[in-house]
Amino acid sequence: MQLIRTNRDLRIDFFRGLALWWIFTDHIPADWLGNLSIRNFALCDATEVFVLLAGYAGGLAYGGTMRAQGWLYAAADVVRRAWVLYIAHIFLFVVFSAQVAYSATALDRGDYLDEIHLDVMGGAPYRALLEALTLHFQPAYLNVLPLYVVILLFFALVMPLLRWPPVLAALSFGLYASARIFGLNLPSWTGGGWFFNPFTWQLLFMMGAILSFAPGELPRRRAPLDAAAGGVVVFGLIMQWIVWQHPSVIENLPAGVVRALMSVDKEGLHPFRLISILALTWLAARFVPIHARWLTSRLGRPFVLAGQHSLPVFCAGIFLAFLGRLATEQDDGLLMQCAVNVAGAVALWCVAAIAAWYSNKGRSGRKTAPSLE
Amino acid sequence: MRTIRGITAGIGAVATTLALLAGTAAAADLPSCPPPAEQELDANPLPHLAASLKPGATLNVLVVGSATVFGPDLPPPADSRGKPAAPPTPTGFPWQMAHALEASVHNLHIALTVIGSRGLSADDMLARITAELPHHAYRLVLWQTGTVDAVNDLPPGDFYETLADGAAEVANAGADLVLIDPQYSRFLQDNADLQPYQEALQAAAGLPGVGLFHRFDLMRDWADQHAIDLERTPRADRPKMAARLHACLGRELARQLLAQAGAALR
Repeated sequence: MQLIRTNRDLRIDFFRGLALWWIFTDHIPADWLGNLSIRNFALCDATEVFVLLAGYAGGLAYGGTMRAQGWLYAAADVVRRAWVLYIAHIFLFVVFSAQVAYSATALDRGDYLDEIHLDVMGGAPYRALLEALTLHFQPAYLNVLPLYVVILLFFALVMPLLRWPPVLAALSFGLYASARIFGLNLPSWTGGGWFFNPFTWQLLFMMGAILSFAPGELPRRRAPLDAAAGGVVVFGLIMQWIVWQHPSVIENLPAGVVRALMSVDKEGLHPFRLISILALTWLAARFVPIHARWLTSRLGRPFVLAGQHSLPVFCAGIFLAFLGRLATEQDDGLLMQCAVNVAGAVALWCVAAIAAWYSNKGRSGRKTAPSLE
Repeated sequence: MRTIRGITAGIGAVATTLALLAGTAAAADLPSCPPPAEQELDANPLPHLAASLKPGATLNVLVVGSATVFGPDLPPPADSRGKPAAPPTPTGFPWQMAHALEASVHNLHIALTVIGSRGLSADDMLARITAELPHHAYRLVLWQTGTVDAVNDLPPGDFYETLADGAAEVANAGADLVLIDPQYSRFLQDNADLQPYQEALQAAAGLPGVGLFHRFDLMRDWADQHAIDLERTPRADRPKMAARLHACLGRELARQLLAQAGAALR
């Protein structure tokens, strides 16, 4: 049985799957494969890839629905999707909190609670439940889905502007810039605002949506953009491998430069991070052909499959990553590192395969508009 | 607010003798520590500390922090209600530091006050420092902070302001301030945005009368050398390893404080 749907741009699925795998390895502290993920080579990390491609998939799926059946119908679909994500988030919150709290008790590791930020739950459990339901309380690792929910609700409102890309882009960028300048963020229970500020991160999603809904021709003169994107990548490499690794380099830079370099925040999608993901997107679009053979090769297929079922794979990845952490804390040798990473990757693939089997089973019986998985 | 006066906090010869005995006892069964770190205290001159680390002197030290200042056998309560029963000889690194200082300077008497509790942000701690400073003539304040702020993603700019305010208050009270950065954890290193908070601590250490003890780097080195690595220690061995960690941290902190004041650890 064919698990992978091939009637679409598999590059998007592949890179989403890759981002999901990186999210898994990045979430196991001191996982050796964590040293190979994108965060080690660029100023952005898997989150940026995930949000941009979520926007791309959203523009494709809901943009198509809007063309065929109008805004109201499409917006209802988007809100329904946001609801599904919200339910998934709450389910994951319960599972993950139970997993971490039980492990902390059973292994006598109170620091898990502090790190994952569940300590506040011990102090005020009733309040914590309420704050979790209203998304004001987001333990560590559980910040991406709330961001996605809020962005989708915003998208439902502004999606008609996809027909006028410059207007949507200007609105989205205006929101990004004002949130950064005036420090706007949604409030969080424990102070400091949301870990991923929806007012800034929406820009990446909207860019993805515009790219898929109204794909322009690549400009005729591509060399300058290639060079600029390459320059951004090299800059990222220098930052990651030289500047941030060697304090002696930092000490010799002017104080103003140091302050600028050190203020690259993830919460507000710092311009460096934004430029970094845009440069990578340009390079991927330029140099990865849409029908590249390797996408459907033995190595490429698992990523494509995972990317086509990102929600269950993401949720499973959070759960499995914590199990992986527990395992590597028992024994951090080569064997355990291999076992954790192989078992994790296989488990993620199984989750994706089951999701694919199940949704294909449903799809063969009825004809519906393509939905965002 | 919960205050634990350390065992050396008493006055008079009896208390001093007890403290010295405890210090010797601690030194005798001191677990082996990795060789002294290459790092030194990141500090401008600390005049109050230098003036107080003299034979026969009494040094009032205020230690404020979240969970880790209390050490493995003195778990801080989640709230401030109820006084926990303090074990006869706390093994947390502040007490270990006091022992090591007293063993190194003849007749030095350290009066230790340790305050704080789990989950306090720098701002919470500043309020406690403000409230505690007038109670004794403190000459040294050790302020362990950063983890809670980083995990809760509190604004790093505010974090720096809090540190700077604290530095000013401590200076006004006639004491030096030594900041202690977060405990090393692979989670903090890989999954929390620790950099801005480390930068803020570093920047605060540039203020007059302020120093920074690089606990994170020190513990990472020990973990890399497979010397002391609490996160990779099986549960059964963890109490022993925690005791060793605190003993070695305390000793290393004492060494760096003494070096800053121009003296050597004995």
